Amino acid sequence: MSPKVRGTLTSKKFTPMLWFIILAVITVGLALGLPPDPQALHRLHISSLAYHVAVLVLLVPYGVIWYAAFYAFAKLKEYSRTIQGFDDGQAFHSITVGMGVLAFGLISQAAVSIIMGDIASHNHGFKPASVIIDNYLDVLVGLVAFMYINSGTHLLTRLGKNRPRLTGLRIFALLFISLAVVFTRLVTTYHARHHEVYYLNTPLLIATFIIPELFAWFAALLSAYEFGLYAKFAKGLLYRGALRQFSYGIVVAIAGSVASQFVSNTFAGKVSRSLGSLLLAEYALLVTVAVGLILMALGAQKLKKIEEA
Amino acid sequence: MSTQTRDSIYDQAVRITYAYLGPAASRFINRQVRNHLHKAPEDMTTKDLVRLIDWIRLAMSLLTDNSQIVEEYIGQLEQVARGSRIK
Repeated sequence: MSPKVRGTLTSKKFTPMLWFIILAVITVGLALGLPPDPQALHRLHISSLAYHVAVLVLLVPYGVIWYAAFYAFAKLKEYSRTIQGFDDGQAFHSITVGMGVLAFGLISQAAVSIIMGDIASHNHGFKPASVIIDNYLDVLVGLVAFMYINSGTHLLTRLGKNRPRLTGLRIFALLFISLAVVFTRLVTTYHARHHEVYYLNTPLLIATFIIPELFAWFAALLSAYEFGLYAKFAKGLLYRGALRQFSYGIVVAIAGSVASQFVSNTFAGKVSRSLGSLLLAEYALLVTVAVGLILMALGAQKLKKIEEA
Repeated sequence: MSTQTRDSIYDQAVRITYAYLGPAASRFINRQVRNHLHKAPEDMTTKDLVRLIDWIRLAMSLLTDNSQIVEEYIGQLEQVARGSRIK
C-alpha cells in the first residue's frame, strides 16, 4: 500500500465511521440503482419496484453488521492508539488491523458482488468468473482478518503467560476436526449435484476454497479461545472487567461468523426447500455477529477509559 | 533491577495499582505524575504521592462506581505515603 493511500485511510478526517457511511452509500446505491436481471424478475414473478424493495429489506441485516464492524474497528483503533508502543499495544494493534480488514472487506465484498452480479446478468458467460471471484473474496477477507486477529491474541497469551492447556487444546482440536469433516462433506456433496454453486472442479474446490476457509476458521476460533484465556486470567480487577466484555464480544462475533459462513456455504441459498427458514437462520446469525461486535466495541471503550483516566 | 529501584515509591504505587488496573497500572501512575506533578514518574517522592492521592481517587472514581474498591485502593496508597511498606 502506498504511503499516500495509507495516509488517506488512517487520516483523522477519514474516520472509520465516515468510511462506513461512504461505502454503505455506494453499496446500497449500487444495489438499488443497477437494473434487475430480467430473468430473475421473470423467475420470481415480481415487478422491478418489488425487486428493489426486496433487495432493500435483504440489505438491512447486512447494513447492521457493516455498521457494527466499523463501530468495533473505530473503538478498537481509539483504544490501541492509547497503548501504542507498549507490549499489549502491539497485540491490540494487530487485532485492530484484523478488525479493519473485516470491516472494509465485508462491505467491499458486497459492493464487488453486486457489480459482478450485474455484469453477469447482461453477459451470462461471465457468471462462472463472478461466482468464483465472489467465493474467493469471501475466503480472502476472513483469512487475512483472522490471521491478524490471531497474531494479536497469541501475543496476548504470551504476555499474560497463559498458554492454552493440553485438555483445552484437545477439546478444541476435537471440535474443530468434527466441524471441518462435516463442512467438507456437505460442500463436496452439494458441489457434486450443483456444479454452478462454485464453478470449480473438486480438487480445486478443496485446495483453494475448503482448506483456506477452514484455516481461516481455525485462526478465528483459536483467537476466541486465546482471548478468552487471556481475559480470564488477566491481572487487575477493573482491567479484567473491561477485558471480559471485549472477550464475550470476540467469542460471540467469531462463533457467529463461523456459523454464518457454515450455513451460507452449505445450506442457505442452495436449498430450495424451506429457503425462508434458512435465510432467517442466516440473518439471526448475522445479528449475533453484530451483537458480538458491539460488545467488543463497548469493551474497547471501557479499556480506553482506563487509559485516559 | 536493584533493590533500591524495586522499593521506590513509584514501584510500590505501580504494584498496588496493578491489582486493579493490570497492565495499565504503570501507564496510569505515569499519567497522574506527569499531568498533576509535572515531573518524571521515577522521581516521585512520598510527599508527591500524598499530593497525588486525591487526583488518583478522582480518576479511579471515574472508572468504577464501587466506592469500596476505590477506598481499598486509596487506603493502600495512603499506607505507602505514610511510609509503611506494602508487599
